[in-house]
Amino acid sequence: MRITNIEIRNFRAFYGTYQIDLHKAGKNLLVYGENGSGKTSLYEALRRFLESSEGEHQFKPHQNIFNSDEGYIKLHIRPDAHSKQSTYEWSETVKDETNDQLLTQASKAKGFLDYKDLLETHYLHREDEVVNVFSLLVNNLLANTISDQTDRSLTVDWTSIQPPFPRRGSTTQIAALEARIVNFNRELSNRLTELKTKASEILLKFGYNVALDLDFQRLTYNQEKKTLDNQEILLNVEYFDRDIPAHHRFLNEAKLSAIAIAIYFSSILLQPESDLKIIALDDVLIGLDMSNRLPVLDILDEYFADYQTFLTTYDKAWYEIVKQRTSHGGKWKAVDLYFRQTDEYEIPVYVEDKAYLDKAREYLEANDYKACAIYLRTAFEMMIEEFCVNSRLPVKYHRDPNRQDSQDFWDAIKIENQTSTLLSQGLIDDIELYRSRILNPLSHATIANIPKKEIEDTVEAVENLKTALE
Amino acid sequence: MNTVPDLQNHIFYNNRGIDYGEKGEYDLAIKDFDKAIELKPDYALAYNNRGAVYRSKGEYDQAIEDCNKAIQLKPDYAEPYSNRGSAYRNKGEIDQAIEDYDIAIKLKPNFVEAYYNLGIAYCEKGNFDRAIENYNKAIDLKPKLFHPYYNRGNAYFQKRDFVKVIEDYSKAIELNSELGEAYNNRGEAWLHLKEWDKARSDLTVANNMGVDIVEVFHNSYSGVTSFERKNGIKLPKDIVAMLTRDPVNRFLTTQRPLGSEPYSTMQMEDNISTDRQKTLPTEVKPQQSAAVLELLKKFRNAGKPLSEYLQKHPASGIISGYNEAFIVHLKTRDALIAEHPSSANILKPFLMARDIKRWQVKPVDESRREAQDKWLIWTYRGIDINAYPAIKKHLEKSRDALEKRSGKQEWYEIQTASTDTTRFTQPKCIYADIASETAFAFDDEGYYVGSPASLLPTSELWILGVLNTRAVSWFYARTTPQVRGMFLKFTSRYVSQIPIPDMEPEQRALIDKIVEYILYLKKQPTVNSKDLKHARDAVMVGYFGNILNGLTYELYLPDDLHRGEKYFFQPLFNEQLPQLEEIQGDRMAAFRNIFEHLHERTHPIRKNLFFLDSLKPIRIIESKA
Repeated sequence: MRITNIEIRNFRAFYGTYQIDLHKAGKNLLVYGENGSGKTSLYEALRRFLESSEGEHQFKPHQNIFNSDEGYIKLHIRPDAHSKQSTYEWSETVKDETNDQLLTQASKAKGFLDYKDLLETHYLHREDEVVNVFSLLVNNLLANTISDQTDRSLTVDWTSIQPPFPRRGSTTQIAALEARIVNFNRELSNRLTELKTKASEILLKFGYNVALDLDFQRLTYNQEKKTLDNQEILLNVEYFDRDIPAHHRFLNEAKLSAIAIAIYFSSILLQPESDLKIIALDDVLIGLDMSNRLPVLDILDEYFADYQTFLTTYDKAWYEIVKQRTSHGGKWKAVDLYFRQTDEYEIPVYVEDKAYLDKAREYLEANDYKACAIYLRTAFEMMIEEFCVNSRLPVKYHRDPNRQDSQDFWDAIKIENQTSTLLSQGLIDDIELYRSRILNPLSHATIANIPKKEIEDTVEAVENLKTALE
Repeated sequence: MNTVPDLQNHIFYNNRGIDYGEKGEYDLAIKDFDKAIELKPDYALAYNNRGAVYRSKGEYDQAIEDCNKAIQLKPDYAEPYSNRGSAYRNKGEIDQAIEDYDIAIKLKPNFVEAYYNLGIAYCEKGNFDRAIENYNKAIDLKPKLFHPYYNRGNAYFQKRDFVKVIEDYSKAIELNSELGEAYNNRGEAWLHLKEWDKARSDLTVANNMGVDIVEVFHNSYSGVTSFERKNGIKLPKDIVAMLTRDPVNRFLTTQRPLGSEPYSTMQMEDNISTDRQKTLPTEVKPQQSAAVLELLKKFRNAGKPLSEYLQKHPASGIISGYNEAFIVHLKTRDALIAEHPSSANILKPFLMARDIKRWQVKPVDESRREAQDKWLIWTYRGIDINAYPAIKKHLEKSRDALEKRSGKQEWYEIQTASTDTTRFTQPKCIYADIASETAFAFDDEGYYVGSPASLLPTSELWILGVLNTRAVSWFYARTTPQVRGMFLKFTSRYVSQIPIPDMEPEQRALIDKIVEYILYLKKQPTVNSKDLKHARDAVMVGYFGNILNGLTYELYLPDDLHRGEKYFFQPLFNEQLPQLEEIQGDRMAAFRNIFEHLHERTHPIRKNLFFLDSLKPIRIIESKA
């Protein structure tokens, strides 16, 4: 059971319609995206879509704020490459389509982790190799794990023992609260016991031969002060193969992140699997140093082989490494998302969608000049970059790849043109003119004052350039 | 006079608290009363008002506590007595309630709400004449209130005085034209008087106002045929059609609305009037959705009512009339036997409602603050008290109080009359009359049971297993009048209507087996221990309980479960689980093995339980839809 196609329209950062084709096989997806480029919106689209199957989830609050045309998310799902696919839609008007057994089960068994879930590892107070991870586990990593007794998530059980606490002396209610606390203690303790072995096993893949000790000494209710005491799960590590002096700081942030990820993965692996298995990690590897990131790929490979995996990152170098590592076997697809902005709205541009010029034309017809300009510029930039790469033209080098910009590519093409006369002087002049007025990130504020005719001419010029370069 | 609120003024908080209370914003109201009390610690009004709000929230013990405080601060203050009475009434302690309402009226002879509340309490006791007397007084004092008319109409209905019924409902409708239930009930009264046109018209109005007239009718008469037979009346065809929905429903769902909840009385202080009575809005039970009604029907069609299986009705617990004298602890018991050996014959092990939990009585529970050692002095009707000199001497000490009890018993006799003790000595299921979910316990140790708790005369464990499930808890909560807040009232009338699903002998045997496991495990120290070393044992019992949830869902909703490929019976049959008595040696070790096996991530039982809530009916039942 795999997702073969994701269609998103006017959901959160997504302005207009986007198609992500995961092919018949339902490939895993690796996404590179700058901040604001919509990669978190993609993660959220998947998560909310699945969760919408579990009850009242309104689409409306997630509607793109700049585009009021009704949004939706559509997933095409296929049992295997040979079977017929089904389409499920979630939007404000289409009701109940996601309220389907397949999706409800997928939602309950899914693994979705984002960098925010791990943020706390940076603020933990580390002393003598003992760290209190209560909040990290209860509020983040184990929050959605389900109790086999009550069939409720840990969050629900945790919420049931939060303030306001009963008044002093009201014995019935205090007894009821204490009974809930006893249950919570048992549930949490049981989960931790279950986790330890698996988490240690996974940690070994990170190269840490340690036993995790998660020491939880039950919560207690203080009737006098009306407080819930002992909110402590002390994380300790014991080394199997080395004697490490106490002053050695094993638990640095990177290792804590690795431990947190190992715990999260184990919690997923302890629950039953659904038919449609999804795991999505939004930027979670950012807290890890490079040596800790690569093992995650191996872990995904080994433990989550039959899960459909979605990885996002804003780290270009890491993206390239993963892309290279996953390029064999045809199980992965890598895509880029770019962030574009006008004075009025933001618009992520999805690079796999090659038809930028078509999109530019579409928006031109719809009199949305700003969106048109964004796609024109993207078309132009991708075109010249590709030409330089394919023709092996020398391009100015920057130590920081993020500083590479379209000027470098355009300059290279102009130099090349001095000998090859690929482009006519007229075309070059046109492009230069429109570059300053339209094909330019700073131009969007003034675009409203540019007559439609001129934008049309620009579209034509870029089309001519495309023909010439081909 | 509108002025800027004085934030240091207790009156401001008290009055704003009342406003919140009336809007149903109970937590905000309580905050305000807290503040008022903080500013003026002897502020009896605010205590009373907070008590009234706690009652509305369903927190009766807190309500009683606050009323006590108000009474202590201002002993001649009538309102807290009335509110405390209502809290007792909500807890099922009707006699206490009546006592409090009486005091309230003594202190404040024109206390309309107290008369009204008293009327409801007497109605609940089945004493409709006394109820009518009190409604009369309420009406004399305040002829513009519609509630007393409506409730008096209900009382006359019980007495089958249909002319009076119609007068009262008509008056109630005159005062409040939106009272759909009054139209409905008046319509039913017209049926008794064979006034077909008027009946048609009233029932149509009620129906248009959103009253489920079919449901209410079935609740009152269990169907058209039964109505016709009992009353010797033949209904016209079109009216039969109005009152029929297929298939005819032989179960009760909700009672004829006995009338609105009793008044909570809050007292406002302001510049104009210092004695304005405020009432909280009455509670309306939300309409059930079509999906819920459909599910209830499926449950009912899956089997027959509990009382049909048992061939008996549940029996109520004992009311001694004065527990202080009749219930003694171990030390007193031993002393009474030492004083005279005959005492042993009538000292019976005794349980109260709070000793009853799901599955077991008298749990070995470390959190208990008192020892569970209660004994009942079983002085049944007609006992020769002189044969028990030590007991007689003991009871003599409370003779004054004992003689003041209502009823016809001798001063040394227990108030409830039954001499049938086999119902206590035989194995049985016991349950508290007020609880938040179904919680039936098995007892084969011959405990006597005190009110408010009751018992089912059965030793069939599979029945216990079915009753203690989410499915039955849900069904019961949807088909019984709810007590305030989270609590349900378990009355014989509704408990005996719980549908027990039909099943094959081997299915029954499987449930029996698992209930036996649970009862055995519940007695084990590691399962009850709070030490987290043993957490997994506690989880294990919960898991077996959850397996019963799955099995019971499969019995009530076989088609829904099988369509979603959720099976529980078959995979468990395949396991060929041993009977409890077949397990030799270390039973705990054996159970742990069984549990770990059934709990494996890939085991169909684990998977099907985990994904059970992907089915729509289960989502509805478990409030996940």
